[in-house]
Amino acid sequence: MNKALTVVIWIAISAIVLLLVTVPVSLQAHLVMGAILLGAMLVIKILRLDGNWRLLLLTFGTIIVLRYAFWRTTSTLPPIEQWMDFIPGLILYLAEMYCILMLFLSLFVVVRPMPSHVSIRLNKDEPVPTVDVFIPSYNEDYELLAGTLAAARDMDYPEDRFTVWLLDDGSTEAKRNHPDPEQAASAQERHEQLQQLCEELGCRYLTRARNEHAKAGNLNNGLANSTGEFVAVFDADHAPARDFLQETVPHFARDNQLFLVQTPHFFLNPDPLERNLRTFEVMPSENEMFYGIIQRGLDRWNAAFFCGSAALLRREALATNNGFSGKSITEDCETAIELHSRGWNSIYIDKPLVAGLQPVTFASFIGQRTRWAQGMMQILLFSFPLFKSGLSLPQRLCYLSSTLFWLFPLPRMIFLFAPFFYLFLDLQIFTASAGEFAAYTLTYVVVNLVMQNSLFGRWRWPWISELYEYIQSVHLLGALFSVARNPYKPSFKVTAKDESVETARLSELARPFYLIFLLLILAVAMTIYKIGAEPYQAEVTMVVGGWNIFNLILAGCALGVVSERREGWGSRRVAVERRCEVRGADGNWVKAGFVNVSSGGVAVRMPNGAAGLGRGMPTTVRFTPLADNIGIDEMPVFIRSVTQENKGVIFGCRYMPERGQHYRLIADLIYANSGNWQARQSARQVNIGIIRGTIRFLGIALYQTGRGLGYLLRFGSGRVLGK
Amino acid sequence: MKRHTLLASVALLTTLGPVLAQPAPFDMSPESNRVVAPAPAEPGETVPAPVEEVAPSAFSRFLVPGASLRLVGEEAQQGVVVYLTDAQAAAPATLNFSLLNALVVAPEISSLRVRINQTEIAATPIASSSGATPVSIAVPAGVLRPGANIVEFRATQRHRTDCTVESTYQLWTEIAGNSAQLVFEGENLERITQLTDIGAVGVDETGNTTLRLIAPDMADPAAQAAALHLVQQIGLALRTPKLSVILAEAPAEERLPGVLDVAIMPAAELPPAFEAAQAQASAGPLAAMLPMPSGADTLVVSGPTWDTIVRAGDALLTAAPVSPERPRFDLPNPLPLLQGGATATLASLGIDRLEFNGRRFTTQLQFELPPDFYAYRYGELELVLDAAYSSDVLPGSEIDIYTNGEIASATPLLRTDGGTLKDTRIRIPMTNLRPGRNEATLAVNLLTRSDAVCNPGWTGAAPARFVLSSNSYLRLPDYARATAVPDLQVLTGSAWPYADDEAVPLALGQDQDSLVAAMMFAARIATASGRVITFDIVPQDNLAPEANAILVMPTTALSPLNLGRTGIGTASSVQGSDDTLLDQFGNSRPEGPLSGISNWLQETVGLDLADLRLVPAPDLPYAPAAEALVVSQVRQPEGGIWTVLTSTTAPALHAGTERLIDTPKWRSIAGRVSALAPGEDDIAVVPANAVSIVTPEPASPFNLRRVAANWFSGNILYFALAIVVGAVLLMLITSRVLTKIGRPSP
Repeated sequence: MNKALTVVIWIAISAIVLLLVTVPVSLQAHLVMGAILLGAMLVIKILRLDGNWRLLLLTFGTIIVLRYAFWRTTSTLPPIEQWMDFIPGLILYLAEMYCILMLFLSLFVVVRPMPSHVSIRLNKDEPVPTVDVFIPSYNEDYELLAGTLAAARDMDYPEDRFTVWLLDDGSTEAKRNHPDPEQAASAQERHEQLQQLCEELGCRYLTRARNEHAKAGNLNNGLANSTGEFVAVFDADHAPARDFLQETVPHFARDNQLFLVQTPHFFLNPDPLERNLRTFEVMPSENEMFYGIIQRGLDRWNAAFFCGSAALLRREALATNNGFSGKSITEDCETAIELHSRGWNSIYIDKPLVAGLQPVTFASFIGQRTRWAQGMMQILLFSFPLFKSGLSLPQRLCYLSSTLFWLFPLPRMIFLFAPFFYLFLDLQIFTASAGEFAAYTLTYVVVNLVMQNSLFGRWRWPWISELYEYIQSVHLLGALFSVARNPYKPSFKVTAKDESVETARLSELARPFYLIFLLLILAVAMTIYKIGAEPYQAEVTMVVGGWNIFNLILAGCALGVVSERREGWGSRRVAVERRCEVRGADGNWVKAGFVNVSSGGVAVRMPNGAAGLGRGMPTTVRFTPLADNIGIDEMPVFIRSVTQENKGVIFGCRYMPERGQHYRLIADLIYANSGNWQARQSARQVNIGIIRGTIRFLGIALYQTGRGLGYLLRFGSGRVLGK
Repeated sequence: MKRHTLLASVALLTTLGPVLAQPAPFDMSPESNRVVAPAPAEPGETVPAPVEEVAPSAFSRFLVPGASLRLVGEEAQQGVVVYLTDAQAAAPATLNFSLLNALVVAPEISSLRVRINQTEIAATPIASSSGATPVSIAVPAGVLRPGANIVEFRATQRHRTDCTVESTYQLWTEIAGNSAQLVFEGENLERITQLTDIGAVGVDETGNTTLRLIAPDMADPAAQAAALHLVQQIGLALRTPKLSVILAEAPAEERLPGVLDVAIMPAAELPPAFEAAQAQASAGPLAAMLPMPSGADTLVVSGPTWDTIVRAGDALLTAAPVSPERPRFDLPNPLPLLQGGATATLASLGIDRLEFNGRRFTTQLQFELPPDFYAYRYGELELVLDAAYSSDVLPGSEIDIYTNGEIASATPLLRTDGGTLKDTRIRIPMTNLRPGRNEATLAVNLLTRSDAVCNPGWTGAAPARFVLSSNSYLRLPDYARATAVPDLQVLTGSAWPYADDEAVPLALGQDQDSLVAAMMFAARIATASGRVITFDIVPQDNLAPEANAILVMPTTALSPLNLGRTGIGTASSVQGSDDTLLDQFGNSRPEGPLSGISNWLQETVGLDLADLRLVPAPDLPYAPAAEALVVSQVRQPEGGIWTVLTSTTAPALHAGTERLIDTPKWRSIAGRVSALAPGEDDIAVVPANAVSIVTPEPASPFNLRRVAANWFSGNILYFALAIVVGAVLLMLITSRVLTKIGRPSP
């Protein structure tokens, strides 16, 4: 069978199934059919059947969802004459249809995720291409940049074939000549310090006259001043592993039309939700779903897109687009869609090759997401992916999925407030009996859960998506409206990631979450009142009240997210096992071994005793770096803690870097082995199932509601209630 | 989020059921026993026989189609149609009837209004709880007219003390059937001289009409076919639901109300009594009312040959056609045929705008559905209401719709702040609708603040609180069109499939009882459907299984071959399968461990486990009780649809048919077998397990989809199976497509 014929048959069978799905059978027939399909789906899921069985599960799910959509469209909308009911009813309907559309788009994207690309090496006779490594910076501090630059310099690649560039937008001429002398002075100081750092590390320092076109402009300035065949881009807080170039460069030799090799962003620290809910060590991170399966799915359709960092790009391809695109504030995705539409290809390598930091506070987390959401909306508005010429149909659908995703605040907020229309205003916005609701909506919700869990279960636990969506929606909704009002208005705001929460407190963005929680509580009270006062519609009231209680659970959990726990940064440790030597009090080198490292310090096991060292004493650690071009092997440290262990002790040491090379040693320790990171990720990537996941979520939600309310009592007087 | 579906209906049914099923008021006062359950004989005893009071020159017509007219509830309305000749319409007339009502009806605020042809001729208080009271009303001149006259009784009844909805069930007024008469003054008014006036034959005091068929030789198949054709036409022309037939030897000796003599024979055989018609009949077809010395209403249908006699019968329907202006005499309300997508305003269904100050308002309406209506399992029709209510009305008031006696939808008013229901759509599952005539009841239960207080006298003094606009309308969806075979309901309601055939082979027993039964059966089908079936009398051995056929004969007369094709078994042939037989009854529920689940499913989601059968149980031969009358329909494997009307003996067949054609029983006929045992009043119905579907030509894809919806809704596992098969195919082809498109795996 050739391709065209197969597709024609597929269309024909789809049409038949669609006809069957839209037969307006009775409620009972739907219920029995739904129960049978759902049962089959559960069997497939419980037995963990794969391959065509997985596809069958998705097909069954699709059919139930389609039946729901059909019923929802034909039977549940309030009559248009009753506009008070109809308008909110239509809005709710559209929100649901959006969710169904997104479900199908994401189904398409991840229907057959690409397996991991095999690691390849350049052949011996192949020329080693030249690479420019760009590290754009705006306001990151010296230490962070030193770590990233050092890690970049440490990369395993012929010394003369790659150049590391610090693209400093924090000390442009304009900034150095800022009218405010204080700011001008600080920019000048930064300029000099970074120049010095680059010199020490063997990197190139580059800045420009004015901060035009934000990050894209900065990168384009880098392009203009360099000549390497390939360009690697790392955010200032994304330190590459040693093997980054080894893993990425050879792919370009296999495909002349390849413009991008993207790798995942791996984070060493938790995001605010993970930190405040204490799920970082056990639960897959939010971005793991995107990098773990969605990018792999996009890769199948040649639609893996540039994520701004941890990627290698072909200069020739960028040149056809006049460098990086800068119309939107998400230059990365915009550049990718432009190059894809010009026929260039991309691949995605599912192996963490950079370690980065993510926003620590809830406020900066929201700031980052605001930029992404607004940027994706700009792309949606400026170059609507579905009609973008040059893209293949799958690419169009993929980009549509990626950009439309960011409309999620709308339905999330609609779902939050929809029960209020009934509970408080007595509007009938969803005309169905409790029985119909059970037969159609309940099966739809369960099927949705099962599908999501079987698609994404390893990377996303049940209800966590809803929680992430909810905590973002409260503030993102306004941001989306602002883009809609003026698509050119949003400007690039750099996300701060090196903050720390020194004391426990409420986030400055916490207030709406408490207000919503209060409203939901009132709605629960209203539900109870209504059940008693209006027995003739108690069934419906209970259904709507149940929905409201789900919202309440979600909102209660979110209270925990905005209650910031105290935690300094840099405390996340990576286990390493490397030999080293520590200079004892007597000046002799004593054999020791690293236990774990973090960006701030290192734990050293002294198997044969403390060698006269103790807490509060400076010393030096010596080890053989993996990179052979650092030039030194000694690192000054300061002993902060001593833990007895059997015969020996473990020193908790803080780095005391004095020169640029010391940062390279730190980088050599932390970023040398990307295999570490993968192990850490896969330890968390376990599908815990719907039931366990739901119970766990309920537990978390209950506890976090209490903690959130506790924080309100302790810290809330000024921030939430007052003002 | 309205509750208006099956589930809600089922829930309501269980709560309302006991109330509705309880005819007696909860009042335990000593008098109540007497007024609540009037013995059928009682009105006859208490009402002075009006016939005796009438002067010799007067002539009276009975009005009521049954033993009595009963008006129940706060607002009730019953009407009858009476056909008058020109002379009768012009004569001075009096309307006589007697009233008996429940004790709880408050006399000072309850009244009975009588309307003739939309003109109110009297209003009388309802105050006859102690005994039947005669009422006599002079009909104003000019109100009556030749042809159809609609006499309506409208009762407004309020409870003496109680302001609850439940109390309204205790309100009733009864008009004894034999007491309701139109009495005309004048000479020779009883004479019917024109075919057009044949409807004026009317009914006797029990509401029956009887044909005395005078025919020389009813053994001749041609004569039988002609007679069968003619009785159907007469039934339609008389506009009566139910026609009893007697084979008579000679003309009647006196005129009796509700009896029509019919002479049907070739001109040559006309006896001397009909000599007046001889000449004309010898020349050509003749159908005419013949004046007889006895004064009996006599119709002569004759002609030179039997063929011409059949043509003569057609003149009857030309003179007295079936038309909306000539309603059946028990169905004064309009009876529109509602096709898919049709709408019908309440006004067009005979319901006036109404202002109401009570608590439970009910009104009846009826409409007709085509024989191939096939949407009773999945579809919903809509009642679009225009109504208003006062601020006194509370949420929780409810609008209930009953279709053919079963609750179909219960919609609570969720908001009463607006005061109006504008274009409020009430969705009514079409579950109980059927081909042919459908009856629906719209009931509005009003809860009000003032009723909760219920001051003395409030039941009558309350201001109007509910207004129903007659612009409210029914809207039918484009429903599925197909016919299920076998289904006796389609036959008894729509004459399908036989009315469409050119001539239906009919095998008759050799006895007169079979012929009479066939005539009554055929006439009843005609009066229900408005259509006439043409029969071709054939010996039963000549019946072809490929063609449709009807058999009317005692079981013993059926040839063994044909017996095997009737779906009826003799007691010996089905011995030992009693259990299976029991299961065939629709109401039977599986016993044992499954019954709990089954009942739960039925109650919560309306799911009948029978709908889950993959392979239907075989339709085993039905073994009727002794002397029971049985109607059975079988689709022969060769294609013919055979209907059998039979009983164990010929007299039982005759007697049973006479009972069967009574309207309530007739409307209960359904399934593949319906049986009426002697001494029973309920029809036993055996639903068909194996049903074939006949879709109308030309096939339309839209209709097929709707037919599929109905069929799948009754064969649920097939729906699931179809979906699963579709899904598996889709999965396989998707898997195949995925290997062709997208980037290959490395």
